[in-house]
Amino acid sequence: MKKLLVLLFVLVCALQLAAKVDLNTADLDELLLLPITQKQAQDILEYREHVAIFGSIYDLRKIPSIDQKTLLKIKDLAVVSLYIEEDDVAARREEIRDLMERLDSNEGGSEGMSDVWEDYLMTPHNVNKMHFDDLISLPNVSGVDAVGILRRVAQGDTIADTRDLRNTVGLSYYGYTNLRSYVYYKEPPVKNRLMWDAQMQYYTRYLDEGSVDMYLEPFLLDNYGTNMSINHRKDLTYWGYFDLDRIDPDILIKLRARYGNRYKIGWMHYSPKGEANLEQKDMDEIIADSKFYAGYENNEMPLLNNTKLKAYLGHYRVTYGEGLVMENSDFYSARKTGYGFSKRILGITPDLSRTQEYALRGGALEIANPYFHVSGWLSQDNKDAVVYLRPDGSYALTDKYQNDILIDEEGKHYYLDDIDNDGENDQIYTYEDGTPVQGKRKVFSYVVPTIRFDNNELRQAEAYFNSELQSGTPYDNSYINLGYRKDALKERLVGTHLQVNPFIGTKLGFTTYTAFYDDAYFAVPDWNGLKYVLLRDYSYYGESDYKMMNSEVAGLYSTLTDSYARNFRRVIGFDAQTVLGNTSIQGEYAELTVDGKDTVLTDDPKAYLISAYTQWSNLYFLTLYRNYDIGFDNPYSNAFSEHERFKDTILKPDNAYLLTNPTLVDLYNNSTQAQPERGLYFETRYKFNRYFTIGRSYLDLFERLADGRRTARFQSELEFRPLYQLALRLRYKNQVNRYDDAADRGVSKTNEYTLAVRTFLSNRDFLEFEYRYNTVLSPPYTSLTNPAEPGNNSMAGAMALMTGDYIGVNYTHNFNSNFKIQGAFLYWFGHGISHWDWEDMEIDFMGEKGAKAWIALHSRVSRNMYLSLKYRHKAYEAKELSIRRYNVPVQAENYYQRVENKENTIRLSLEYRY
Amino acid sequence: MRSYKSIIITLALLLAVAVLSAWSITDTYFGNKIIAMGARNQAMGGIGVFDDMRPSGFSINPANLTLMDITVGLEGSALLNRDEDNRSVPLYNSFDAYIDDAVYVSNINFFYDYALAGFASYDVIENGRIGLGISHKPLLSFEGIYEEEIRNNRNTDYDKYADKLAVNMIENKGTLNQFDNVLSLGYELGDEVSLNAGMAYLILDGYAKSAKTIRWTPEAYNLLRENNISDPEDVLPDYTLTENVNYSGNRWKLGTAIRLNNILGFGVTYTEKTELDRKGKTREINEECLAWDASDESTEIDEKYLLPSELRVGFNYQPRNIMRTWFNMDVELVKWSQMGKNYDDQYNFYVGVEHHVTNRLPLRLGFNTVNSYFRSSELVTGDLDDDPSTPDETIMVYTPTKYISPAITAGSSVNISKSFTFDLAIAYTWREYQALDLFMDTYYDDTHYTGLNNEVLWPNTYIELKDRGWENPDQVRENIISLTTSLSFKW
Repeated sequence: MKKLLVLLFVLVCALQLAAKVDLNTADLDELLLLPITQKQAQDILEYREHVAIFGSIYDLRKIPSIDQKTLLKIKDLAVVSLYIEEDDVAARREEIRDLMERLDSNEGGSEGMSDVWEDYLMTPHNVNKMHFDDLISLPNVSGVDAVGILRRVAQGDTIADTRDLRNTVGLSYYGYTNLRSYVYYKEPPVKNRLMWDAQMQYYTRYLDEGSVDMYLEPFLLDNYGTNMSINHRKDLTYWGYFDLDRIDPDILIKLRARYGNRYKIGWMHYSPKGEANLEQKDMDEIIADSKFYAGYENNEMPLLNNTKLKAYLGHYRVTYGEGLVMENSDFYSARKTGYGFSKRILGITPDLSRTQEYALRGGALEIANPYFHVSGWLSQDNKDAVVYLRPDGSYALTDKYQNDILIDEEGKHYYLDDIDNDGENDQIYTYEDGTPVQGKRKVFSYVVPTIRFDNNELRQAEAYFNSELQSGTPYDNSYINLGYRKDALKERLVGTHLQVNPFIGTKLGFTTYTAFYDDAYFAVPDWNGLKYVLLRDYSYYGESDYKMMNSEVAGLYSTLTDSYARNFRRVIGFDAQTVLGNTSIQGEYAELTVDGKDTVLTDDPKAYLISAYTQWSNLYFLTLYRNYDIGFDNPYSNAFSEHERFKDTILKPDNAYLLTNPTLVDLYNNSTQAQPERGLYFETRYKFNRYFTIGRSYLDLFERLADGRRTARFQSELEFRPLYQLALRLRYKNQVNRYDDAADRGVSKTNEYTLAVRTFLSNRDFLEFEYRYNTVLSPPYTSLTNPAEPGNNSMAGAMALMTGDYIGVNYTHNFNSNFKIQGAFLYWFGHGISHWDWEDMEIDFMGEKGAKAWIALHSRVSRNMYLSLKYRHKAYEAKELSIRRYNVPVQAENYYQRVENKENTIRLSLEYRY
Repeated sequence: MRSYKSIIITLALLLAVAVLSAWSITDTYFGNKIIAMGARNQAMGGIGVFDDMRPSGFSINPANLTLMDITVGLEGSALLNRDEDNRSVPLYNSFDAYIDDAVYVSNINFFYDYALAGFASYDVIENGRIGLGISHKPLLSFEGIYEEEIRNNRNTDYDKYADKLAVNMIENKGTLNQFDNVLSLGYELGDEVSLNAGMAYLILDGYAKSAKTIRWTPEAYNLLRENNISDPEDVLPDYTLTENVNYSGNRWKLGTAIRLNNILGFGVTYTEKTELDRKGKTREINEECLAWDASDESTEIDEKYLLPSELRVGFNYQPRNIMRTWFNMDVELVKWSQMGKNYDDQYNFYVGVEHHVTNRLPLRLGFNTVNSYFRSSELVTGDLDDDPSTPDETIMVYTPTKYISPAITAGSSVNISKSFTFDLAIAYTWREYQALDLFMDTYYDDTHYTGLNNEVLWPNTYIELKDRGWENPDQVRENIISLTTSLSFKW
């Protein structure tokens, strides 16, 4: 009877419920049973289908057409059933959303690495099975942190959850907060399934100032000094010839798919400004210009305990040690320490980055377990190169004896020599031993061109410029003798890395690669001989600083010298790391094979770096020493330095007018290698308490080896946070450059003071004001200080003090968690100082003076779809004067008013992640 | 309150229509294409192949008519454009360095137009619907005003204005209007699934009037008089070129719009290639001077004007989001290659999103990038028949130049009543391209007209008056701000 009563009660309740309308399942007809209008019923349906599942009956008030009265009317007639959409991928994506946004916004600074970290975030690794290299490749996880975890696991303990991870002895708070999102403990948060990601970006970019100066340099006759009627023609510049003024967007398309972490494929095509778009290319060109990969990864290899295998076909990245032997990237970043957020992802990783020149294409295999690591890679690709050209624009050829090789009408190679001593050159087709003459392309260097113009179009342009150069007063070099050619250098590259890890946190590695060039010789003249190939007029070579700095250019590697002729470039190196207590020590030594033997150390140009990182809970110290020889020319290196190679050499944009071809400036503009320097770098961060923090602060004392310039650079930042919502930040930067030489270059001192006030408003909104003030004391450069009027140079001059400043405001408003708007306005006065501004996803450099405003909208259209739209308007004044030689008067006026530039930039990104 | 709103909106519409007009002069031949008619479409980047939100949607895809599933729809839109056109030449410093471009002429003009659309549809069978609609909208605008002053640099050292020697003007008027006659059929397969197919017969009709003039100024005449040249009005010749043409023709457009479920739908349209009749005449008036005799020549124009075919596909996505969201994306292929071998097919891209950031407050954002061509004409003289014994021939060479117009758009709307909605959109577009000098410089060399060895009008000996061809074209930077308002009625 009791049971019957219970059953009856349940039935009555069920009938009660059944009589009510369930807002989460009812169709339109059922909703109309409620005392509401057709429109209100329709609105309820739409809310449910397009906004959210009802969590409670009170959610009805979020619908505009339903007022309180209506709600009360239907409250007792409707129910809301519990309905949860279960999707582990969506849930995981929600969990890591902030980190994904941060990675996306840092993409500019860590080209191509975000993809790898995003994959890690979506499908984390088991922290109990990770290796030392896996751990230290993650942002902000140090060697000391890694050792803490590995020791614990080695002792047989298993880290069970996030809280348990926090209890790991030796793991710092920073390490923990960053690590926890990249790992799982027992069960992976996402089951293996097919995941894919499609991305499209449209970006109407403007070229940076250095590239603009380079492409604007005209090919004019040599008589401007005597005839002031300058031919104001635009088509005698690369800029005008290729119409670089027109809007020509960068378009990036990227597709990636993977099944769990095991099978991966990807394809990417990037067509930047000035280059053909996808639809304008044939299949061969698409393949040549695309990046793609197919990969297999297995973290649980059979037979060998905790052994991982990676195999990739297509494009891949290789990074080991400190990036001295191998870290292939087209992108340079200063002070890349390998610690904190400035990380390297060690090992072999798939590559869909915009890196083209130093991309590796072929096959790569890596096997790693806690005790050893073996990898090997093969690559075959055609590289862009600065090559020697003949007057007709064809490739200049040379043989192993450094003879210039010519080609006759039948296509046979020969060289000219007066073998019969009759005073006239003869065409020689064979050497003395009877071997036919065979010339190879004569190459100056690898290069990352700002725009990869089509080779045929480039040849036509050069022929056009040459005809102008040859029509007037003859120059020493009256034609373009050096120029870049797309895919001109056939390169086969073989490399390997062997590593043993004898103790936890200790490793010894050996890395080497050899790049083979079967149909080319790298031939770079010596220090003094450079002027004959680089300069249009040798007479300008009197400038002492060009001479001093040119050892850096002359230090480029040659495969053809007086002492050898070979077809390869080989770099060999060792790296090591160990952790002692709370200090991690690591370093790398690398040597480029030139005249010495592969088996003997220190007999060739070398580079080495050693660093020590000591951490406490709220403090760390980083000390780093590096020393890179001038002759260490390894294009695949990407190690720590203050500056990239060729800064202040004859290849800098200011000197474009001296060069036989202004586009040689690209060797500096897009240089990826560290400049030859040696120095000691200290870095620290200390959090006193919740109110005061000394942010990342560093002191770098270094010497530029090409000219012996010594520099001290210091930067420090103090943050005061009296309330959680308010932060005041004070930053100071000081740099002193000193030349102790006979070139009269003296000392320059730069100071920069920054004050920023940040307020964190409600709903994660954010408002910031920033003011920056700079001073530079330096010898009087006419392009920066007031111009010397012709005939008025009678006053004695000493040093000149220049000041500049910058004021900006940044605002972020979140309409809700799916839609935010960011914007900034700033005004700057540079006066020779280049200001920089970190926008939403990219860095922008501003010279001279101007103002800009930008607005970015980030919309999460759906759970899987992201849209961001950014517009920037920038108005600035370019240099008022391009004086190239101080105090050298020319006829007529030698300065012009400032020239105003306006830029409209738009960037659209669309991404679908499944 | 409601009537107050209506008054404001009506005033806004009237105000928009009352402003006088002008637009880019570069597209004299191909015209400026009006991308979207309704303010909602405009605010969302010009999307609309799948659009069930506003009555004018059927002017982009005829199948949108029955997709809307309402009985009557009416929409009126007004468009206001501000075009800024800056032309510049390379500026060199005295170190032979080309440092940038210096703007020598800047024109800002306004342009307006309007569009109307209306339709009715009803269920003929249980799930089947038929609809008829008509609309009127501008397809191409030929309007444009350009004014350029020719000045020497006399007296500028003494803080005075340099002499204004001549005024060059281009005044273009006209629009190619499109009148749509639309039939659409829809069939509902379920609550949220429907198939719609439509066809439109488009009547195209319009005109273009162009006048290009060079007028010497009293200052120029005075300078001649100061140099003892009498009757300068007879010495310096004015110039006038006019062209009046009418366009007429028609074309077909087919479209389909398929709603797959309550979150996804897509559409396709195809507009056929068509040749319009372009008839009219040109008249060129040269005044008599030392260099040439007086002439007044008229030429009849009777030619075909080709509009290339267009294929456009797009989709609409209404995901479940924490705010009501619509996302649309269209890709359009325009077969420009049908124009000739110097043209390539072009893809245009439109994307837009609408979020209801709070109740009844939609915020719309969009982007589009449209690739078009403009045509430059240049008289080329040479021995074209390879016969040295005959005099050189002169022909007109037409050069197509591709340019891109990216745009960002934004907008919102207000529901005035249950049936009336007011939409507002703003769009910002810019273009950067090279174009030939519109008025060649040798015309202003007065030695041709005075017979003297030295210029009277040009005292600065550094100035060289020579024609600039493609070796040194103008750098043109245009920016266009468009404001669109629409009032729509749905029943």
